[in-house]
Amino acid sequence: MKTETKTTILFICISLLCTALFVADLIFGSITIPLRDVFNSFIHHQTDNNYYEIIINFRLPKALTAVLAGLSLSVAGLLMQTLFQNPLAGPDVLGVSSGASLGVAVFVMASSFVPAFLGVSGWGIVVSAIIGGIGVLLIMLLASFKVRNSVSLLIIGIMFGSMAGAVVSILQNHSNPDALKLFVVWTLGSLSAVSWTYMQVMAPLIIIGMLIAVFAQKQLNALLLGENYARGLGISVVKTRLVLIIATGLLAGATTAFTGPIAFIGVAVPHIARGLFKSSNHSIVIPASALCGASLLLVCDIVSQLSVYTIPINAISSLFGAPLIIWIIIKNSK
Amino acid sequence: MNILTTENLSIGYKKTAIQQQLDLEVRAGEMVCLIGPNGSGKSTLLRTLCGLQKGLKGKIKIEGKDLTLLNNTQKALSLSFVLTDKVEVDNLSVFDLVFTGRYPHTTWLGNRTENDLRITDEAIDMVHLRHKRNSLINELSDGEKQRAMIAKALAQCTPLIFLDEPTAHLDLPNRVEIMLLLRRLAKETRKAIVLSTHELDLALQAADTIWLMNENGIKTGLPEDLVLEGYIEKTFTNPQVNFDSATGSFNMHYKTDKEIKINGKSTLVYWTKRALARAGYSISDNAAKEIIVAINSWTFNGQVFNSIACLVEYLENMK
Repeated sequence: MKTETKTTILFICISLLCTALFVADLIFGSITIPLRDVFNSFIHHQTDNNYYEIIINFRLPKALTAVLAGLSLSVAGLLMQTLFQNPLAGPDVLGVSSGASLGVAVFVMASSFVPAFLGVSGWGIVVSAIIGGIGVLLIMLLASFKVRNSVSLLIIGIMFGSMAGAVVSILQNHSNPDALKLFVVWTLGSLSAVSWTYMQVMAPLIIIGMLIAVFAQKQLNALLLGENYARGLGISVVKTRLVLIIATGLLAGATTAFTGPIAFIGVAVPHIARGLFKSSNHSIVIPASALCGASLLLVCDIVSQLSVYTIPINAISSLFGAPLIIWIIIKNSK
Repeated sequence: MNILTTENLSIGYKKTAIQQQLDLEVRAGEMVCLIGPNGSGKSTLLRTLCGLQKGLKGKIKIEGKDLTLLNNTQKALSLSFVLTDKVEVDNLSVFDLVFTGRYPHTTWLGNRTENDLRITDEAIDMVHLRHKRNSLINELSDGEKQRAMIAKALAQCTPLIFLDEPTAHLDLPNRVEIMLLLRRLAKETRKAIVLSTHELDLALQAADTIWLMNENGIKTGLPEDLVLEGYIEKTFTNPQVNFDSATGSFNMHYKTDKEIKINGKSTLVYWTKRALARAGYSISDNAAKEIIVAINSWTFNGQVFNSIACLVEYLENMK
């Protein structure tokens, strides 16, 4: 019972922290809005209030995006680490993000050749990002059968990233300025790029991905023991792999599609969650990663707003995440 | 009743059969040790019986049901196994590991019912790991980790358990403990247990039945019968080693080119002989020179040595 109580207390603490950070993310920014006015904006729909527009149409969707992106990237990273049995797996490290970029690039720039595509909608970008992400994921899964060493697999992922980057450069060279601008804006994209309209697309996809992850927790726990033991427990390994790839593609693909690539959250957060809760049990680690990921991205967002010059969210998450990955490699090489 | 029966089973990879026409059977409460030289196909046989790879020909029946006709869950309810695959997971507790054995019995979410929790704890008790229930598996010793894996197989509540080299990488006390534990479980729980091992002496002492595997097939029988019929000796004897059926132990062959005579108390003579064999001496009553052995004194060539080491050193310097 002792460990269960400890787990419950930890969950309560992190949920409270996450809520506090969410509120803080609404308060702080280029101008600091008092807490009372934040609440007033929710209660009274008075458009004449100075703060209403900022809170409801700018800061609230941005904070929600931080929560959704944080939890989906973290859970996607967790799924990949279990799937590949590799502590360094994650959406950006194994090339899923670059695959998604390639998908978006092909879609956006192809529309400059084929006029029928000109009506580039949120859906089109999402679908192409998810297809690109899942495509790279499948290739990496095939590679993981041949290459068991985690660092080697990581290098293959980086190579795929470079190749995708090269193809994107070629596409950029041959596309018209309008399509190019659309793509570049996407790659620079931030948490504030997600408006309420886009949120209606992004949120359901992430929720579906999360549901699949939650329902696959038994299979995930069995996979921790290796494929043979998983089969011995009555788990269909092939089916599980496919389900996990779809879930990862939905989570990482949908997030990357709207916010642009956000580095390192996916790799780092599952390690924080496992270490904090001293557990590898997915029924604990999935919600723990989600909460830690959401909190972390909220912190990154607050930091990026508070600085004098706005720092891109990707830079902050890299500054924090890259050292953590170096630490994981050093720890594992002992 | 037979838990496991194979009929005309052929095992191997692709089209190449390693073993053919195997008719094996295991009864409830029986402990079977599968022994044989490297490369004879022990792991292949176990993997085939576990359903991890397909047999080339013939049938495997578990409690009368054809293994190939069972779905994943039915298989997991019929047999469990402990492999040589390493389980390296950070932050996985013994309890969580053993609980995975309950998965075939739980719903798709893996909900923990009172019954599942009780059976998991019972399995942990059976392998004497209660004090490590909440420890992480990476903090366990190799012996404890192996016991935790056995508990996982027990929690699965199957009539049949396979273990591939469960005593590998363990020191002697742990090897003996695992063998005694498995034997006790077979008798107490009436489970059929089949394990492969390279520990011949342990297998011959602990098994109800030996499956002796070599390139010509599998010979089954009581350990003592197989020894007396000379099968063990035939399978494992080669120019470097021979099986002494009088003691049930293996002796190494050394190249000996010198002869010497030895006399004294039997235990002292036995161990002195072994050191002499390593130094290249064989024992012969017709040899010209003699060693007289007494407690703490070895007399040779008119000199007295107080240890075998001094004696052997003197003999080597004589050349």
